Amino acid sequence: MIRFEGVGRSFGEVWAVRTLDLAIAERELCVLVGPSGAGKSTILRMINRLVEPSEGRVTLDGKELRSIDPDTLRRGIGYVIQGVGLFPHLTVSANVSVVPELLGWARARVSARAREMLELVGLDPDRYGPRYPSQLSGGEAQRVGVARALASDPPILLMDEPFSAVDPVNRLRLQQEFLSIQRRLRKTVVFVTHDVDEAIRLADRIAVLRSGSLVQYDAPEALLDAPADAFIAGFLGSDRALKRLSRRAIRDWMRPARKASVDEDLAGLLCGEDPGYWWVVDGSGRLLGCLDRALAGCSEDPRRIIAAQRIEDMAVDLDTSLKDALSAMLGSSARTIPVVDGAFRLVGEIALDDIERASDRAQSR
Amino acid sequence: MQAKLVTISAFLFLSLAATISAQGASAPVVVGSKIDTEGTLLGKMIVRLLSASDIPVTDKVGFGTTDLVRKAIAAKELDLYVEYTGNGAFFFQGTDPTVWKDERLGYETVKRLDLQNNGIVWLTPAPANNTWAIAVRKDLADKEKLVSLDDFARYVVRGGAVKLAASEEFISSAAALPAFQAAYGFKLSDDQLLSFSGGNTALTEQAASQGTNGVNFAMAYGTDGSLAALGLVVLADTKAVQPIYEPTPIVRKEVLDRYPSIAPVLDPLFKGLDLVTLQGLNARVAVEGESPDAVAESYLKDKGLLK
Amino acid sequence: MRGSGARNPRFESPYAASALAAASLAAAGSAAAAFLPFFVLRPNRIAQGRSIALVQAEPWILAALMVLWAAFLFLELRSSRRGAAIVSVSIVALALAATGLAAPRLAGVSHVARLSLGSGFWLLGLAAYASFVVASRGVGGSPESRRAWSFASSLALVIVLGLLLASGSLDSLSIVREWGAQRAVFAAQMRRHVALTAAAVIAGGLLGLSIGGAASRGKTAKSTGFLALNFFQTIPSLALFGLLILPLAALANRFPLLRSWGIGGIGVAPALIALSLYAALPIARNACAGLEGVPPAALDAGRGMGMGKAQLFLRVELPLALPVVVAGFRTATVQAIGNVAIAALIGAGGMGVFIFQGLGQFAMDMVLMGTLPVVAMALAADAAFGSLARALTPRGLRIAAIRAGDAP
Repeated sequence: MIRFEGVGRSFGEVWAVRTLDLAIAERELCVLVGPSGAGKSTILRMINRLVEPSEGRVTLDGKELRSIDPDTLRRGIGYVIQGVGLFPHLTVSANVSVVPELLGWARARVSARAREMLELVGLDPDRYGPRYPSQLSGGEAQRVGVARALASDPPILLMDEPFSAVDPVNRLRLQQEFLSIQRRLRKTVVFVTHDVDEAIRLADRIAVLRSGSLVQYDAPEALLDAPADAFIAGFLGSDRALKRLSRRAIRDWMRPARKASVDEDLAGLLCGEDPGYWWVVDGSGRLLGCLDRALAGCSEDPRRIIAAQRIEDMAVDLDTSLKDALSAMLGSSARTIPVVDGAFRLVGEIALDDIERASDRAQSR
Repeated sequence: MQAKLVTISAFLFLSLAATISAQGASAPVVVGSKIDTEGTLLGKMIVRLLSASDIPVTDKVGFGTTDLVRKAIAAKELDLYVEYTGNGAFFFQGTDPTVWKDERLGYETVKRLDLQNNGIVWLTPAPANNTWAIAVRKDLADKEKLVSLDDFARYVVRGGAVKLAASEEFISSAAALPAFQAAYGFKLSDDQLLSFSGGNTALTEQAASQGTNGVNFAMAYGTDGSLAALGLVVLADTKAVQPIYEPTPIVRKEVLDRYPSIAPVLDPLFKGLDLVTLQGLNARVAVEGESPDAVAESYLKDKGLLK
Repeated sequence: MRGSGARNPRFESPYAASALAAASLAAAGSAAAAFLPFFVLRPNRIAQGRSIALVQAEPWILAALMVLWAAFLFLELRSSRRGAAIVSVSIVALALAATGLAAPRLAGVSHVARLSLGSGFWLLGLAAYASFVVASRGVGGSPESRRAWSFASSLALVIVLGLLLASGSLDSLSIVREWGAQRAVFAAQMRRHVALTAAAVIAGGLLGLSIGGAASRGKTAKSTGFLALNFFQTIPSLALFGLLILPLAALANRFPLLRSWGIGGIGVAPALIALSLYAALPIARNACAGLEGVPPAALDAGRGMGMGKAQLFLRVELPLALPVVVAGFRTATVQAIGNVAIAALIGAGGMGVFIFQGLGQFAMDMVLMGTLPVVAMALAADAAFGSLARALTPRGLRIAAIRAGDAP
């Protein structure tokens, strides 16, 4: 439990942080969000004593930070920054091994741990271990940064806009991968960003800051449902309803799919009594295409119809958010789209009605 | 941390300076000289002679210009070097210029003034007048029958081709070219002069010898050894315009008091250095390329001043 | 010749350019050997000299040189770079051999006569050196093998020169005679020159590293430190030496202990002080730049990870800044070698003694005897520091530089 009590910090005449009272629970991912100059980074850096408060105190599990030796404190806290800050003269493995070596771990343990961490962030240790930072892309470098921060298995992780310098495509991937890492490791994470979507996607709780003060501290749904003032409402954006949907995953809201096997009499289906649609799967359950009576006549060849479709564009996977599913629906002008697993096997379908239900549910709370 | 660094560097610096510099024993006599041929030669002779007489010597021969050497002895960096009697006119302002034209009088005057004002003692001078002169290419001298500066003056007035290479000092100093011009009745225009800064006769004599830039006359010193080798002859100063410059060892009084034998040791050496001898010795260094030290040693041995 | 007919600009440029370079060098080199005076013979040390062309002195060697230049051009055009480089080295060796053969005959009889090397020799040598550089640029292979190759060629030439000197065939050369007359003094002044350079770089290094280090940490330190060093740099060396005489002399008179240590107004002390101040500037500049060049993100991450200030310095800042610092020492040393030559004027000794004595006596070969060692020392120091810098560059930085397109 990290606690800020009446904390303030001034730089000359300017107060970057003012009378901050904030409690960050263990094993929670707390996101500090706000416009530039809100004091987010300053607050983050007060946790590992890179910045000292001008007034008030910060405690960790009841102990005042001031009473702990700064270097010892920092070795027990992971630190990931926007510029990554890898040491250019050390290999990737050596970079990851820095803190364990500082802590005096045995060499075998250190190298085993370095491998483990690289695998955790999705980098092959044999390929990436001997490389140098100048040989990495931005996304790869930040993965190494995260691996380095987690190497000594610290209970707390501080992240200062870690994905902001990465291109949007990779940023999304990094966020998703980080979420799955966090689900496994359950660290206490304090994450700074100015990107609202990122905050909503990742946070267990969000602390909205403005000009050095805490304006609201809530779970994302609560924040989206009831912003405390016009500023926050504006900061969250006018598409709050859509944002709410981004917290919901398809697996919770989908319905069973209307299947038809490719070995069935598909032509018969097209001419039969049922006026609806079917998702056609092969023997192992893989999705091949869609037959819709509204679009295809009785005399048409089902196989030709399926062959001409681009079913990959329509399908979504289990972990996709409802917001992205809605986007896919709009893109393919369909009111329902198939849901597949990692092997592209049909596991269900999601319809516009399901999304409305999910949205409604949130409203009524 | 910073203070430690400073002390360490200071210590290192001093110790380095110490290790490089000569390790002098009990206050040796520091002998210096001007950086030219004659100065180095005489300096080396003095060093050898004093060492042979069991006087500890630090050899700083041949290290600087006149200015520097004079500054050094005043600052007690040097104890002894060879200076010229005529230079008294520059060291001591307000003296009667005619004094310097007389060999005896010039020496006595500078000796008195330097002892009075600076505590420097002038020892026995050498009877060789290393004064400023004008030299001419031998072929031209033979052709136009130029023997003395009178002939030169007539040649100039006649409109003969003249290009004189000289130092700036020589051209502007009242005691030098202007004095010649006044006494012999000629005037050289600017395009008849080629001026160098720094009184280097080797340069001017080379220029005349090679005819660079049309130079056919050169500033020279009386004891220059290279004149014959370069095919130049000196024009006689029949009217004795120039002051007399005799090389004399000068030493700081305290040092002389500490080692009074310096005077009797150097006396016979300098007495024997007349114009012809000095010219010949200079020639060996400049023309034949022997090292000044070798020439000094062989001369001293020949004269029996050194075993 | 591939380049002459084709209209393809991609091929035309690099090949045609090097072909042109090779042709010009071969032409210049042959012309220098054939038409310019190869030797200059003086009846005595200071009299005017008579030019002697190579065709008069050693006609067969001249013919051989022409053949070698043609061979060089031929090999270059056929892009056999290694062969061309070897030929250019042989040209220099042959020119030296020509000297060794001709000198005893031309000047050996009279011990007063002086034989110097003329403009023909020097320009031939320059053209050959340039040809070597052009040829070895094109030699393929890794940078290490290229460096080994240049080192081997320089070594070969040094050996040839050494053999010629040892055999005594160059003894009639004026410059060798000058050296012969002053052998002990030469050796002593050489030692003095090296010692002064070393002392200046060490003392200047300590000063420069402190100022540079402080400058990288704080703005005020930076501006005052560099202001002071730049100020001294603007004072010409001779003037600075002169300025230091009086205060040092006064100091030595006040504290006779200093004088017994050899510290006084003239000689080594003022020279060393001035030389150290000059050496301090490039070292300070590079120390500051090197430390500032450490990526700030890396420093922030390092502190945030729990590295102490000392650890951060030793493990991160120092290895990253070291190559730049060494480059500063390289500059300072090469500069110091040149500056020490001037220090002779205030009695500090060194090769400058010969330069200025030679100037004073108008004996150019004595000047050369003082200058050539200074040039050789500077080149050697530059190469040595270059290797040191390369050796001390961490592999990660070398790779980054290669990716950025800098020459290795």
